Amino acid sequence: MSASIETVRGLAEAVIMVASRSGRPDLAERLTTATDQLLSPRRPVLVVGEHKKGKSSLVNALLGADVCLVDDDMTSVVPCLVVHGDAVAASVVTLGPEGEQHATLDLRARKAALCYPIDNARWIEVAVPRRLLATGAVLVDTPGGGLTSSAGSFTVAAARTASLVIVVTDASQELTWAELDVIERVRAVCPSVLLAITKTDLTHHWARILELDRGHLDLRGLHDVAIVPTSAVLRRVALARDDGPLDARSGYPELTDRVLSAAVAGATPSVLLSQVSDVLAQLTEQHQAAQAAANDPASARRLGEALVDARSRADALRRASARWQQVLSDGISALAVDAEFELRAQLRAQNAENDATIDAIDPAREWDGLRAQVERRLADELVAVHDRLIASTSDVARRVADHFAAAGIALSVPGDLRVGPAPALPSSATTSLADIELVGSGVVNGAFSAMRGSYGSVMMFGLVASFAGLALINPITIVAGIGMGGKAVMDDRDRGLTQRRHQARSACRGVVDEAMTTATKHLRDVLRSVHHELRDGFAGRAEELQQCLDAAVAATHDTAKSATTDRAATIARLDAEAALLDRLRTSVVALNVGAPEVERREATHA
Amino acid sequence: MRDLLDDIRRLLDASSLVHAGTVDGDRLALLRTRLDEPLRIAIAGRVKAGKSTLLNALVRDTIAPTDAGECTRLVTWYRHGATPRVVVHPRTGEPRPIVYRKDATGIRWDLGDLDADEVDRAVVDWPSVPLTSFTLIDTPGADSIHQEISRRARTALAPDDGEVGIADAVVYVMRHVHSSDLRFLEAFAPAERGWSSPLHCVGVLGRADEIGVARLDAMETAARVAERYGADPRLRTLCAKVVPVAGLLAQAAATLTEDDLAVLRSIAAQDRLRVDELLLDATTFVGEPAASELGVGPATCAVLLDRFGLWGIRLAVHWLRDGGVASAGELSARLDEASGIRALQRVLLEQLAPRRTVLKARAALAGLALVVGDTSDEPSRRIAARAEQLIASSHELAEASLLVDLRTTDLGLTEHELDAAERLLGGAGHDIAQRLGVDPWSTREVRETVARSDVERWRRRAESPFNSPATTHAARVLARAGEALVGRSGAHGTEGGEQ
Repeated sequence: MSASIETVRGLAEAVIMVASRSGRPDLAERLTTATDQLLSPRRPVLVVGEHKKGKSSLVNALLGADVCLVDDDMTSVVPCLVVHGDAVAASVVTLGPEGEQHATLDLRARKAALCYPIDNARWIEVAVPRRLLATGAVLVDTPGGGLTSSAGSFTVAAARTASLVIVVTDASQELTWAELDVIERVRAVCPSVLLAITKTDLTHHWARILELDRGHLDLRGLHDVAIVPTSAVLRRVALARDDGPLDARSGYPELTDRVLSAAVAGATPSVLLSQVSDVLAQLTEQHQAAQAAANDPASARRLGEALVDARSRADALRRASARWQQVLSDGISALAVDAEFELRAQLRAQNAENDATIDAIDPAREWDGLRAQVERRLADELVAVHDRLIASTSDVARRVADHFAAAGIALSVPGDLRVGPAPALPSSATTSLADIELVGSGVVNGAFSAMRGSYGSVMMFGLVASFAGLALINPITIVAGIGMGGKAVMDDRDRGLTQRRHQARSACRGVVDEAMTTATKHLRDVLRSVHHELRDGFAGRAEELQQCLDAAVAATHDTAKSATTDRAATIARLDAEAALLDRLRTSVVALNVGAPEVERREATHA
Repeated sequence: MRDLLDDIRRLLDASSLVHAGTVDGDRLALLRTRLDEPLRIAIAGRVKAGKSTLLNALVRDTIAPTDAGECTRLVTWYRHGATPRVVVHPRTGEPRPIVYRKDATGIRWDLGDLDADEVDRAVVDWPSVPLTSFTLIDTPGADSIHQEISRRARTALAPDDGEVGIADAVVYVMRHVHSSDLRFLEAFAPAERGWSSPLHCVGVLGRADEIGVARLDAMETAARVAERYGADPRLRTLCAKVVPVAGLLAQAAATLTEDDLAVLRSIAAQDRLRVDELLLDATTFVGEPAASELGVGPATCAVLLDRFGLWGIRLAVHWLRDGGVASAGELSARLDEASGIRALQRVLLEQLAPRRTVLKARAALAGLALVVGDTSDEPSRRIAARAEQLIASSHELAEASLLVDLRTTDLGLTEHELDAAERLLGGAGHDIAQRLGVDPWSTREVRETVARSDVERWRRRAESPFNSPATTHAARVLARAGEALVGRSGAHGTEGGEQ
């Protein structure tokens, strides 16, 4: 990591002060928002594992509240999201034609809702007032669907957005092959994964199990997956008695620390850093104009004219009819058509493959395997569609940014008016616009979090429930008893087989169709919100640009008008400010450049 | 009625003559021996489901070694033998006896220069009364981290190459039903051979105490879970029923000593709140402070915990203090009952043991079909035809197949009819009263009347014009089953019936 969060935050605060001093509250606000976002990433902490390993108990013990359902027998079938809230509240989230809908739940009704999902219920959301969650962490208690089924694919897909994945196993046995496999797959997409061994109160051999698990993890090269032994029973007693040492033995304080640090570590300061450098460039621009005017009143007029000209062009960008708006909406609609076409083509191919598979087998006998395979492939496909969508949206955003850059070149301030030492950072509005770092600039940030965010992937979890809910063939094994020979029975069996294959085919098609409908809806929703986010983001930047130029024009004006006696003072003030901006810029550059260099050094070292 | 097994013996002897001196001859000789051996029951399940512990509980002795980590790595047979010995059978080469030692944790041995992968099975002969009626086969866990170990269990029970599996029946131990459990069971029940599970497979919810996280009422929870699994349509097609068993507790009950009782007493004598504190978690209980407080060494506590589990200790202490239990015998009996092992023993004795003939016959016929199936010489063809005839004419086999079909196939019967049919075929127990669904003390007249009305009912059902061929066939088999009971109801009449 190139810069610590604290350093970048300090830098941002300094820049915020300069911005408010220079009459740019809009820029100050942008940085404030970005800082807040950095400190409270709404990224999920996933709790995954085989069923009946104590996932829900772990979430409850972590929070010190009965949030998730714990039962000896029943397991939850929909994910439970735990978020921060001022009062305890629960709601069930469904996806209907109007999109995501929250319906308030009686707290007691939660249990029923978790075990017997109502139609279209995607997840249960519970809000509790807890400091651990106040940082923005969202705990996701995943349903116990078994790790080997399609739920496993979704777990891995969801893990990519997670700040931390807690894999839950228990002290009664060492890791199984399926568990180890999931850890390996999750670790490949999420940097922080930890293994929690629950129920250590039940056996004094938990240290042995821990040792064995460590061995299994190391054997697969998973050295950085930490293991935390925990006991929900001890935690409960410890909290009730306010017994610190006992609490420490329960393992939960360590787990809490890890959740917290993962939430913070998951926030990358580079996003904020690029925002800071962007704002800094605009401020520098403004100050250089003022400085130039103060140093050389004669050229101030020329500068003023150039700036006014630039301002009118910036104004054109701001207008609703601006060309970039067209580029954006064209790009998004093309995207929607392409993505849908691709999805359709893929699912059709899958349908054909399913049919071929079904024709080769007796669905009655191999239905479960087939169903798992169909679900898994669907899950993989939906995740792939999602990934492609993110990639192509980036392309559209880049095209719009290019358009801005093109307009920005016309806005560039003549270079001969620059005074003072050559700035270390490209300083004109032009370059800063051309350099829009897509995710970093704040324009697209919101849009991407809408897609990548916890909810998108949790919704995919929800898809599993919809497969499972479909009425499918009775998984009956047809056995012709050895005592029943004869042609009549055989014929009957053949007829039955044809009919079963037919049933299986239509059931598979049903599942694929359902996935198609849901995925199409999901695609459209995501694209719509991305479109809005991008439009608002770019419009905001156009507005900012306009304000920047306004301020620059005003500054030149003021400086030029000010009395000769004041001029020396003004110049001194501007010089001091310029020096400050310079210093800030240098530190930003140092932080930006530092990272790759350090990495390179480490690489050669290794 | 002719004895099915006698017929099969004759058939096997005849084929042995044909194939004498060849590999097939050896296979037939093995089939012939197997026919007269005790029923072979394999104990299968995922890793750490509690298979070895359950085996020990059934044998009422600690012979299969258990451990916190994965422990059973070989397919191990435990059978009755007057002289204790362990023989290892390599895949190739002669079986060789091996040096073993027996201590409080079971029978252990060292394979020496043999690679575990080279070993087909280890056979332990041990003098034990429970082993006289069943040979028990301990298997490595499915879904092991070492996949070659899992494969050993699978190839032994359900060989890929079409060979007959080594077991006649299976006790499948699970903790919670997991998709890989179902896969394993399905692999063991290749449907095309009519080889199916409700007939010979019993599910056990092992480590039942842990389902209710070692609370005093843990067993009630486990019973509820087991009942739900037992009603699950998918599981019903794979095993007869699901019984909850706290294996560790059953093993402890069978091996309880006066020393154990003394330690448990000293715990029970402590202050109630203090005991709760000491038993809060396992680590506290085996710690130095707790041990010195109880006046025993930490090693004693650890051994006690290993043998009883937290739940067993809580339960024993509870009974010693409040339940009026005084002697080791009483405590052992209470623990035994609470563990659920007796229910499992009942199922094995009342449901699996009476099916011995059918299970043995099926294994032998399947093996015979493998030997004579591919060859086209005249004697083999005649033997195959004779076997076919035997299968078609045997009412016992027809009943067995129907019992399976009831759960796995749509026979066009109503829910009520299915229940009645399963009962009549001995699904709930093989005693005549159980099969007829009458009071065990009912008179001979009552039994006969009930049996006759059953016969009448299924005959009429067979004649319904709306039947599919499968329904008609099922109803005919059931009517014949009823007829057999009419004949037998007098023979075993109770005293009440004769008066």
